[in-house]
Amino acid sequence: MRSDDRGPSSGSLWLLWVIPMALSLIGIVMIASLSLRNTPAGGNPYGLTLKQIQYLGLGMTAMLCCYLTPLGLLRRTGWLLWMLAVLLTMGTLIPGLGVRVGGARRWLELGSARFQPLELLTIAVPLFLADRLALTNRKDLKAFLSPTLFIALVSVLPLLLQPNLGGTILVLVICLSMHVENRGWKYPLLGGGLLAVLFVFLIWMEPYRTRRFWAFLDPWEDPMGKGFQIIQGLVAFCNGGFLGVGIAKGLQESDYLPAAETDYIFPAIGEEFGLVGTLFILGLYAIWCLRVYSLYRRTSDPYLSSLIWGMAISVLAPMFINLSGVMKLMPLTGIPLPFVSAGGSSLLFMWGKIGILMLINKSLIKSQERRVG
Amino acid sequence: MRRNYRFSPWLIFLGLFLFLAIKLVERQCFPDPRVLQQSQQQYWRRVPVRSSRGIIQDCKEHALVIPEVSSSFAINPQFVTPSDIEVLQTVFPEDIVNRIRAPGKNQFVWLKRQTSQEEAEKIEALGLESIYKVEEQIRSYPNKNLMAHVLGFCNIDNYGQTGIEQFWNSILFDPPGYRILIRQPGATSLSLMKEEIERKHVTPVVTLTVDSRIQYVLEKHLENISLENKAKWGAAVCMNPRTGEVLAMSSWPFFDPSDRRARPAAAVVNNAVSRNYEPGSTFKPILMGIALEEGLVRKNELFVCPARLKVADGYVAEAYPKAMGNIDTANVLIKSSNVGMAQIGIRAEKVRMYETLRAWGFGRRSDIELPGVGRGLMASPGQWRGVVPANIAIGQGLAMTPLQLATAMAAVVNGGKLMSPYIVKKAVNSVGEVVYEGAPRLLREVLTPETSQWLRTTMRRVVTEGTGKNANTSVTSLGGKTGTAQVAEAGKYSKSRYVASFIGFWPFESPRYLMLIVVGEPSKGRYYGGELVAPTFRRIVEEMAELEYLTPEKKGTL
Repeated sequence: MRSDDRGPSSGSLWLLWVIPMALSLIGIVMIASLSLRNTPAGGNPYGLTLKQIQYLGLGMTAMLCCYLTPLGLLRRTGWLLWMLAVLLTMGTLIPGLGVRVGGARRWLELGSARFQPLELLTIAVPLFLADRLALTNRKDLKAFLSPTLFIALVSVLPLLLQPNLGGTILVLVICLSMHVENRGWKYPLLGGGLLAVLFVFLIWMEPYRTRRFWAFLDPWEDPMGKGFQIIQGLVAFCNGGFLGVGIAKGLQESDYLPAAETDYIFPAIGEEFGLVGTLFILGLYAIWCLRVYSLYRRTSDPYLSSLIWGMAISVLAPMFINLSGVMKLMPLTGIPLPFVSAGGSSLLFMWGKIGILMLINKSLIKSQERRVG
Repeated sequence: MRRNYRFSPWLIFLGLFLFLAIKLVERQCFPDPRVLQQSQQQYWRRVPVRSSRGIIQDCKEHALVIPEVSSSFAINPQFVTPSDIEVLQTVFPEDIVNRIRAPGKNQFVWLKRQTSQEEAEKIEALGLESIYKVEEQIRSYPNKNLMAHVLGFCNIDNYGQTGIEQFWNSILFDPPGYRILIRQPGATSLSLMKEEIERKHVTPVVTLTVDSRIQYVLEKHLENISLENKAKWGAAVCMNPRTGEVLAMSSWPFFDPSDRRARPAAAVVNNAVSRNYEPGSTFKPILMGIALEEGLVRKNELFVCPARLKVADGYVAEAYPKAMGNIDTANVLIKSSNVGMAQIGIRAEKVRMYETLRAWGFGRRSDIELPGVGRGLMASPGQWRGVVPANIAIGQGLAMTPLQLATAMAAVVNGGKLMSPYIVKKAVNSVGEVVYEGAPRLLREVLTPETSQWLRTTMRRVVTEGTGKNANTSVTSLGGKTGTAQVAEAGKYSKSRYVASFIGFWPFESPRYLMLIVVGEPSKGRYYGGELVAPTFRRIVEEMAELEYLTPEKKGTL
């Protein structure tokens, strides 16, 4: 045990779910604020908001389910979940099952509901990989190739075919960083370098990716076309300034800021609540990250460490990717902001991850109690 | 300790959070200037709305001046090729072609401004790319030079230079308006902002009290009489004596408001409000009224009238060198006896007479909605030496504008109420607000109704039995007074330069019209007001009566 462990009574971990709850509620308020203005005449201005509240309810259920599942069962069925996720992701490529939205098949249509299997993948990959990584302790290349690279590539393959660059990056980042956490920097860095070369190639291959990439570098080259969304995101930040223009007073309505409720919700917050609002959101993520870190430090079990890290990265990496995208720090990828953006799949599985973290917390407390007892 | 590496991946989070926080501060508070510019420009746009200079219309809402669009053509000499020059030479005068050919960096030469339709088509047919067309506004005068002096004109940039155009420029000149449009991103089309926010925009209108039909009659006869007698100038004012509204106002010589080149400075002056002249006998009823009010004269007094009367250092003579004998007060006016009036004039106390005349509006500007209003000339009472008081009594030795005389005479005939003259009935600005409404304004009561009644009856007798017989007409009961004034020349009264005039009102019991016609310096021999102006006056009254019969609402009231 490490000296800073505060024992089983460590109660500050309630922030683990309180912060996501706060973020979800902020998201709902923001969606309401945006959709009040953006709903076309005749539409229900509260439709999207009510839907998001329903999704939050589903998310809470998902969290509860994960929390109540025995940890051992979760570990044993990790591979099954992963297989399922990969299969579902592949399912998006089957015409009829997969839905094409904006040039890419990312969604599965299940009756009336749409579902993005990528979100399931981001929870299944850490679960499975943590289990695999904990099996051995070797640090050689073979250990990197399998399980890490194998799982990564199998998961990424359907994503590449969708095509979904953001999802690919996300899954690769999760896999490589989990390897780093478990086995050190050497091979992930090497592999990352190789993959970077591969990415440049991939970007160069697909015209629409090249377009997006160049738009990222200089959106003003085509302010009404390729660069439009990026510029409008920056304009939203600029409009907000320090204190923001006030709730529901933003000028960046739907015509200006496409996907303001989903991918671009952060600039929308920046416009209405200013730097104060955006730093507050960023601070919430940072505090949440600290809480996860304190959970991480309470265990030395390789599987649990790996899983905590995997969960943390699968929540925080989309956040960083989304924020960097809308702030013109990297190309746009279409990854939503965890907890805040409108969308069912993302909210559902993000809360599932919270459930898993709380499950780990519960089991750690139990094992400590046992040891103390 | 299981950790088998030196650098914890958690530190990456720390670094990323810090980096994003710094970048957020930059994005929100120190944005790229291009982003800032976009933010300031993209939501709305001010779109100029073509505005037109307002309309001037008469009391019956017939437009007197209408804004129209005309094409002007300019050329950029930098783009002119030698072959273009050859084409241009065939159409445009040499000086313009020379200016185009002149070396230098000149980028703009007007070819022809405010062209007619045919000219525009001709220039467009040249098909030269270096020529460009500019739409400019012009003023169109549907009635040609009718009322040109009152209306005034605009310079080539549509700014009022004289008359109503100048005085009401701030209302008529409608600055190019702007409409705020919300911009739809990505689309070239712009959607209108909610209607209530949009500025209400209408063409400004100035409505005059003038009736253009009366104006037409007045102008026709003023032109005829001025041309026939080779007059140097002329003026005519017709007003409603009870309210002070000007029904017609004209000035000779005329000018064409649409022709910028044919506009001699002398012609542009509105003699009816700007010219100071000595009124002569037409002033006598006013002085008689004052004298009656002040008790300087009784209605039944007898005056001994020789042909010439010595007053102090000078003489007052009758117009026709003949003694009138013993005549009563009324006959002094009816026969227009200068000697009789002079006797009344010298009874007045100078300062008091001066003050009273000032109170009647002489020597001060008429408060009418026109520019260039004359003040009149009246010497201060300290200078009223010798024969001056006697001269003033016969309308010499003081100068006034025709409008001042008509205004004062209106008070004489309307029961003694001095009404401020006005010519603008209503002015509506470009936002649709009524910014001005002309209304009768009583300045003061200068005569008792009894005095006014006596003067009306007396002036009726001027027409029936006195000097104004030539004006007598059967269509109405006209009252009036003739006037023949000498023009002062180098300190003396000229024996060859006169101003003939006639002022009249009808129906005399309760006048609805008062009209003054002044013919300045006729040079065809005749110069007596009763002889020269009275017949014209009668014809105008008769034609106006015809107009009245044709007007449904007033039918049969005359």
